[in-house]
Amino acid sequence: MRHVLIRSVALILLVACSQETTDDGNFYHAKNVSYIVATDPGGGFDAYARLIGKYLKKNLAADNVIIRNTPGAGHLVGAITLFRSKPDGLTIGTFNMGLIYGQIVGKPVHTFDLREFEWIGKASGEPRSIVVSNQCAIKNMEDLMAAEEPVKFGSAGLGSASFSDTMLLATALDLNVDVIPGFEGTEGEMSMMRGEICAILGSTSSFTQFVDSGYGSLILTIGGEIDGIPNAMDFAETEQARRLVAIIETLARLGRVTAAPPGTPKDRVESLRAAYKASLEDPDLIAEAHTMRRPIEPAYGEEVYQLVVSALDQTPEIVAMIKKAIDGAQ
Amino acid sequence: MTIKAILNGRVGTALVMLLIFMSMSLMALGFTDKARLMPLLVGIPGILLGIVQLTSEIRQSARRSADEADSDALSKAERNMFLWVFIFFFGLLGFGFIYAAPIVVFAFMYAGKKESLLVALISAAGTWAVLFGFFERVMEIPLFKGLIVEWMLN
Amino acid sequence: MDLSGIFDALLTIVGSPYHMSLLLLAVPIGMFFGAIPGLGGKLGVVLVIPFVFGMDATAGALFLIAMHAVVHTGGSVPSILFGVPGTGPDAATIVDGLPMTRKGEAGRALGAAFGASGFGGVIGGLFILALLPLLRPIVLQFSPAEFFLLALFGITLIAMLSGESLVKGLMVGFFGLMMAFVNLDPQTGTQRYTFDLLFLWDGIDIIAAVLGIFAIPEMIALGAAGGAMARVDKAAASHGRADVMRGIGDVFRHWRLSIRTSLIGAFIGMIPGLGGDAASWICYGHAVQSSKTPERFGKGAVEGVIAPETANNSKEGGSLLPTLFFAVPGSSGMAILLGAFVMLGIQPGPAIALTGMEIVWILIWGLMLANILAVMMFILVAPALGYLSYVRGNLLIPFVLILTFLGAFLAVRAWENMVLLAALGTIGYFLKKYDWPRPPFVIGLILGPIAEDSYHKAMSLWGPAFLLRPGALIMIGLIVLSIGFYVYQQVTNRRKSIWLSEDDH
Repeated sequence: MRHVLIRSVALILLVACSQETTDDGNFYHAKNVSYIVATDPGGGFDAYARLIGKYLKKNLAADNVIIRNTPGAGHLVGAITLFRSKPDGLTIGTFNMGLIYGQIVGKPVHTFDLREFEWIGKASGEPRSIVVSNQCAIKNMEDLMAAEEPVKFGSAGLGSASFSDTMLLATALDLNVDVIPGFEGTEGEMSMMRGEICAILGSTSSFTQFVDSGYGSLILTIGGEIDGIPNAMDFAETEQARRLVAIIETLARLGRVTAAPPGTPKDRVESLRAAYKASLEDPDLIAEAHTMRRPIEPAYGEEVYQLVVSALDQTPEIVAMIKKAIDGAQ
Repeated sequence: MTIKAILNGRVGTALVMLLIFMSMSLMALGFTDKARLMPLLVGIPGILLGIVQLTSEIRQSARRSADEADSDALSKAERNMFLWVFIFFFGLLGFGFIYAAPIVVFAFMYAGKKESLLVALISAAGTWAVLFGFFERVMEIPLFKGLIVEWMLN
Repeated sequence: MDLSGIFDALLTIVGSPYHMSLLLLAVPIGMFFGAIPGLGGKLGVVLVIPFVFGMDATAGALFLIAMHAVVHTGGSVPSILFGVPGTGPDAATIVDGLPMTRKGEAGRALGAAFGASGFGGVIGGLFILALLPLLRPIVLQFSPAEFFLLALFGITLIAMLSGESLVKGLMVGFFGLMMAFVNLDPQTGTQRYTFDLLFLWDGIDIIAAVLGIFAIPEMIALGAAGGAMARVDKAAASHGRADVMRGIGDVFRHWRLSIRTSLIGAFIGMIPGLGGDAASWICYGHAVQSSKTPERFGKGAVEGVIAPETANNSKEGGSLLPTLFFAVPGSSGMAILLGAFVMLGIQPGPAIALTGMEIVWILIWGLMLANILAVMMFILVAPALGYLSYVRGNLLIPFVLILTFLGAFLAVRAWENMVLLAALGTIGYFLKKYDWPRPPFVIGLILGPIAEDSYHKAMSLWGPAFLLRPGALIMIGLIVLSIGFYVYQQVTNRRKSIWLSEDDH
């Protein structure tokens, strides 16, 4: 009787163990993947993650891809949580690459190195532009560069990518500006409509409504091409200016990135990259994204990693310039 | 005016409020100009009001009868409830919603409030069903797993 | 104004069984999300979006707006019955709603809340219908200068809500303001009171604050005292349908107040950036101020339930305007809806006035109909809800406590918020025990950031001269009037009591 019992238990265990490898060694079979999003539900990063997550589930043949919203401290909480997550290939995440600024100037809270993430890819870039209100005396870049009185720019709070971008560009192109912080979301546009501030530097897609309705116009673009609108690099006169503008361009190109924690096994990173690529090339996803008015301009793995490295690799002189530009009392 | 009469909850609360205003105003002095404006604008009047209130509470305490003073202390029932709230808190903090919630619900009903075993068990089961079934499964909202559980998983 | 278009839109909804069934589905879902702390508002809408995605634009938008319109209606239920706010703005309903439950008037309070919500929602809808042509000039009048003074006005309300002790009330209000300054200051990048904790960079979460200051102390008190929420013998008070109908009737008995607070709420909702959260408190303060017997408030005055509840729903109607016509969300809930509308193929923005008015009318009608449906559905289940106030505390407390901690966690997806909840809950209990008024704390916490942010912006834009702007001067006038009125009331009351005591001779 005891022999039968032991043999049956051994048999059961054997069968159970072998189940792990019956599906072509697919690690993700019957597993849950966590997709960390560094914002509240409902924003751009969240929308992309939910869309891509759906297709990742299919392409990884995973049981489920669960969105884990981890907001706070301007994407820092989400990024740090991802950095510290168990690197078993079951956790990935997305956050705003504006965190690059913090790492460049060496903010103490940046206890992690962005280069150490395992980069899966990016879904689309986020080109920037300067939009000026139609009530403003400034009508084009020549006016802006020749301005004698400081031009009022609005931006989000200090420490945000929006503020840093604005200050960096102002430094690079030697613009005479007065940046007023604290305009979150669409508050800046409302302020322009009231004639209080003159211009904003921000993501081009967020200004489409504003421009189409005739409240303002674009006068400069960074990290993207728009017919008839000059590119920021055209106005960069010195080597330093070019490097500073290049940083903003890289950030614009990086846009909606997805990464896995450092130390994730190479084979799983490859599986994730392959599934990510398959998802972003899936015509159904592209169609869905189009309905949501979310562009898809992907880049994968190594390419994303190189972009990150190029942005972080700066001379001490540039670092000092950046620090001075975005100096807050941090 | 005995010292004992003054050392009571009312005075204590007023004192704590005053101390909060004082410490926050003090810390505000270390901020840059723009950043400390509002905190000081609110903090300093807060200190003044706090002093007024503290004095008032001390005076009233001195004048009160022994009965009134007793009713101000934390009763056994209140202390008991406070304890339970913190049991809930530490339980959820350590072991998250799925594991800890049913357990503390059961403990509260059965051990704490002497409800019947059946009621306590059903409540615990229902709690688990809602948290796991509805939040985690149906809505796919991952709930907090608890600090201890997360530490063990990592 | 295209009258035929307006009524066509109504027919599109009412005449279609599909649309009506969507409404009938959306309303209970919205109320349910509102009733669970932390779920209402943003998260609820986000979760429903995938289901709505496949529908055509009209049906999808209708479903979403109907769901969203009644979130605060549902949120009033736990506020009144247990003192647990379902959503941030519903906390104002607790101040008088909970005492009504204690007196055994839970049915009446719920009836008043639902009736007020429906009333406010409808008035809010009519308000925006009427104000559509004037939208742009009105919204553009509100600059940081006006925002600052409006916040200041809201802060003066702290005094009105202080009950008997002005000093304590002001201190609690200032405490709320100080808590609002705990953050990474967006104006200077300074860490203020964050003690190196990333969690505090974004400030003290309003949900944790409201749940801590109101819900936890109630549960502790209930657990310590024993018995049920209602402190009155079951036989002494009725909780049946008659009670509920009486509550609904109260809304119409106080029709002047109901209309005023609905309009104030809709107006506040219309101005993006004013903070829809503050609307319910401002209207509550208004109810206190405009009452001939303000001392009843805080003890179970039905006006104290009507005012915030009308405002909660009318503000959603108001906030539809900037969302649809400027593509500027009027509230955080509207921000998600805006994204959802875009996904469905609706294009909010000034262009909508030219090509998309049909959907605008449909949304406005959907909002109003959802509110009416909510009241009707509620009348069916009301008595059962009222009965909950007689369930003994032991059966209620553990679930409410779990919900409270869950709500705090879900609000910001951070366990640290639960710690904050416990800390604020402890403070809240002692404030309650020693008769420190608690509503001023919430007002301070909500209005603090608006006041500070607007002040610095106004100074950057115009310098101290911002106070001389016409809008600003009007607001200053309002503040002075408000304070003056308060002082007058206090003096008159004191005189009254002197007269009365003299009459005793």
